[in-house]
Amino acid sequence: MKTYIVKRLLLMVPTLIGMTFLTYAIVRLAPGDPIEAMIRNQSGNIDPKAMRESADRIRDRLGLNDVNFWGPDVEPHLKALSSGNPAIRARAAADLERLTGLDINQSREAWEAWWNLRTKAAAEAAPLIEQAASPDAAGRAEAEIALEGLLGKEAGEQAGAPPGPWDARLKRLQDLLREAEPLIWQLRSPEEADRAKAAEDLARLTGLDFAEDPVAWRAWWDINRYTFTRDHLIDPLEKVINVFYGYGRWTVHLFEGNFGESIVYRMPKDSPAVGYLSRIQNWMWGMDVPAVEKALADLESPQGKTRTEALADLEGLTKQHLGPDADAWKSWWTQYGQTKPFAGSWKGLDELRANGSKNPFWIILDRIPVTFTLNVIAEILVFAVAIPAGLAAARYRGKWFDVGSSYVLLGLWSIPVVLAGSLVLTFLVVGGKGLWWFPVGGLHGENYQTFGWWPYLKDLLLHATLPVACLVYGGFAYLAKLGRASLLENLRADYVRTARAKGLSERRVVYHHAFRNSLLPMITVTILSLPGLLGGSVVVETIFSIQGTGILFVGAAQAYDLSVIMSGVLLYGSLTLLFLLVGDVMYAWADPRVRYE
Amino acid sequence: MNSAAGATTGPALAARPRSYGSIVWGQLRKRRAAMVSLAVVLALALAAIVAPLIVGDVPIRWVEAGCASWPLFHYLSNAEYSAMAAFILGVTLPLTSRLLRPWADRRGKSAMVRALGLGFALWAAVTAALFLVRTPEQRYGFFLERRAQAESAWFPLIATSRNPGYEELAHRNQAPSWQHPLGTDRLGADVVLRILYGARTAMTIGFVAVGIGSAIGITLGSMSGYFGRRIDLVLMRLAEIFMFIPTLILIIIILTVMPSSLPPLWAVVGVIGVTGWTGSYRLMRAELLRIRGEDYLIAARALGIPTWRLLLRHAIPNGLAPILVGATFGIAGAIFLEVTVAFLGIVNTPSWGELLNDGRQNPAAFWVWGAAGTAIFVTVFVYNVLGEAIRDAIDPRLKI
Repeated sequence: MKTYIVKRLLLMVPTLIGMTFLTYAIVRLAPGDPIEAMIRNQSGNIDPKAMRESADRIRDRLGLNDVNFWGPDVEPHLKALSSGNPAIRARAAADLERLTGLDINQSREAWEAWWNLRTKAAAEAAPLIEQAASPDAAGRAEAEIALEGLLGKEAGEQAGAPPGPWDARLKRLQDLLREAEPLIWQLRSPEEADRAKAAEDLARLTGLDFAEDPVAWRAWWDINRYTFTRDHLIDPLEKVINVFYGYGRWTVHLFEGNFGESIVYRMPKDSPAVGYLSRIQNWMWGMDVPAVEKALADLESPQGKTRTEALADLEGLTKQHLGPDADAWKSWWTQYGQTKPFAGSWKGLDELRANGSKNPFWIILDRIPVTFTLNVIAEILVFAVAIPAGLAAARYRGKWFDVGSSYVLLGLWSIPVVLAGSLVLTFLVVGGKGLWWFPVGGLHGENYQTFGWWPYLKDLLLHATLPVACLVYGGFAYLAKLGRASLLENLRADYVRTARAKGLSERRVVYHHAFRNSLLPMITVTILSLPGLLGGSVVVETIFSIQGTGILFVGAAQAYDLSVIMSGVLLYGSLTLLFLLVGDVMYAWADPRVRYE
Repeated sequence: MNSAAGATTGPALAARPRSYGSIVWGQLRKRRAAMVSLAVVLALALAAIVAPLIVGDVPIRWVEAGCASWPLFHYLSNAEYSAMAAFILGVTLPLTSRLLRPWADRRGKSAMVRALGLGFALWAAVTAALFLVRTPEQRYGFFLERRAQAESAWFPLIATSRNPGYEELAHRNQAPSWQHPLGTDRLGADVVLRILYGARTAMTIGFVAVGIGSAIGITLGSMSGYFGRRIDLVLMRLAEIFMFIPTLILIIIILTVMPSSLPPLWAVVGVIGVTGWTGSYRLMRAELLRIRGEDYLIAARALGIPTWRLLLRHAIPNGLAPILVGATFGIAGAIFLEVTVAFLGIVNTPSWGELLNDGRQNPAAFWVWGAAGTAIFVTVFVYNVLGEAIRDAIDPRLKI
């Protein structure tokens, strides 16, 4: 036995090495470039045409389609197109294509025609665009028609929308950054007074409160500069587009430069850091803040507009669908719709930095208690229901209970968790469309730290009921089948026949002789299911927003965070191998017939 | 399935020895649930294959200006025709086998194996011919819009746009009606259409992924079980390694990283196939360990039959039945995995998971999530029932 255990332990080493190596190899050798994928994912668009369209939309929104914006860069390239050197021509054409997102190749005439058209069109269009935003409906329609003729149909449609506050904002921000840069350098000054003065000036300029921390200010400055300033917009233009389209993760990507690693999925959902990021996102997304606030006011106490109109306005402006409840809108707005850029709390940044550089082992360990609690409750319930059901099915083989339970459990097994979870989440939780029975979101209510033990337990149970139910129902079938097969096998064994021949009651034969032996295979199943308890259930955790390991690993996979993924794989693999061995040893201990040589 | 006890020749023998496959099939035939499940599986496959005939906007027959044409048959892709051929050949397999029986019996061969070979050859020929000769029509006809101009038009049962565009947005989220028997989704697409095209995805993932997995599992498992010793040790470690690779995480990573030029469906299929062979490997290995000591195999070895032939003709065919059970459950599992991946919002192929996810966003439109949920439930349930039935059918201890 001892040699067997040592042999198995030694075999574990190459298996673990092979497993981690293989996972890593598959992940790294998968076709495609992770960074490129990250950009693409954020954009949400896949084909180049859609990409270009969205680029155009964003340029319009930012006022970047104004030809003057390209002026100084485009003109030298146009000149270079007529150079005698083919290499220079090619380079200039490539630059132009990159700058404009157009594909006109190396034809100088075509580029010049395009350029003239744009310049001319812009000059003619400027008053029309202004007219298109005027309150006069007839004038607006006229301007739109004229614009359509001038710039094409889409431009006419877009001009109908009120001009965004972007031009002014962009300019203001650029000025702000220019002013802030020397001050941030000054924060590193050896003089105490200089530092204090710089911090004070910065706070006054920006309305932010990052104290004297140069790293925080630098992060703020970098994010702004890389996302909004012109030189960065031009090289490469696509990058900025991605910042705006895939605001979320690209912002995070920028954070990575300052904080070390990708972080956001490592945050608890209600962390201030995440709220902070959302605020950045909303601001970048370019919501028309005064308009939203006006619509909010209209929603509460209609002035001139009806509630329906105000609601439509709000939904159009914010792209959120929160229903007609004014309070819901207000709380959403106070949480995410800050008017001032980056007015997030310093605490959020701090937390981002702390979590970003954490050892993945501790991150996984942090999540394990939640997942473990949930899965242990689920597992106990599964065993408590499935084993009696399986044994009863074997005892009354072929009777209605056997057939009925088999189909019912198979049916339960076949219901997708996504469907079940969504249904209970829609019809059984507070704030849903049906019965308001259970609270939702995470495993605890608000302020649960202040509860006594009984309210705490009640709160936990109420929160855990639905997730546990969703974890449990699919697991009955397998165990019940196993229990049934195991008891059936034992009922056919010789020793049972002997017991019957001795004249023992059927009850005693089944429960005293066969039943106990048929529990033996359960040892292996139970022990093998233990590592799985830590792996978590991705779908249930996602649906009920429980911050367990499942959600962590999926987030890590989506953020391509190899450190967390590989730690998870290694942890899970080594635990499984270890428990496999424990299961085998315990099986041999429980059943003396089993021998390992 | 190959005859287990070696071939017996001569039409004079009234009672032919039954092959293992036919014994299992006979057991299966007795179970009504299994037969119903099999019928549902076949019906589902048929519906997925002939989806354009059931729902779509390309008419089967179109008469305009006194000129009749059959547009649908020009639009169907080569792959669709090939799948139809596979389905027809597969369903007629028992008939072919019966037709071939006298001929096969005369030569002492298994009729089913010959029928399988013939069917496969026919299908390969048809597919090759299709891809070599035929170019399907690519242009889109706008038949629905020009309906009034036609003198006669035979549309599919549910005439609805295949690529819902701007016009369909007007009647989105519609409850079931005669025009849309299962209603429309949030983009105005017909739900039947999405269910049927989603069935194609489910079938592809189920059959192809499990097929790849089973093929790898059978190959390695038979080697491991038959040769034993060092090969077994190494392959067993390999299986252990693959057993612990987290499939879902791997799919997510690969889908996130993969360039958009590759179809995401095949990444899912590939990952499930490549990592999902350990189950069939263990079953096949156990079977071969048993078969290795059987009399017929010792006899065959004594006759000097080469090892590859021994494995291919005698050992492997007799160990296939448990694989079938694993594969049936595997198809159900693969469909579930796709639902999970779609739920996490990573793939964008037309699939049931995607439809279910769409439906989640708008619970009031119960026909959307109801239809998707029912489709997934029925399919997975039917495969599970079938798997259970096959397991019971091959379990010799139940044949009391």
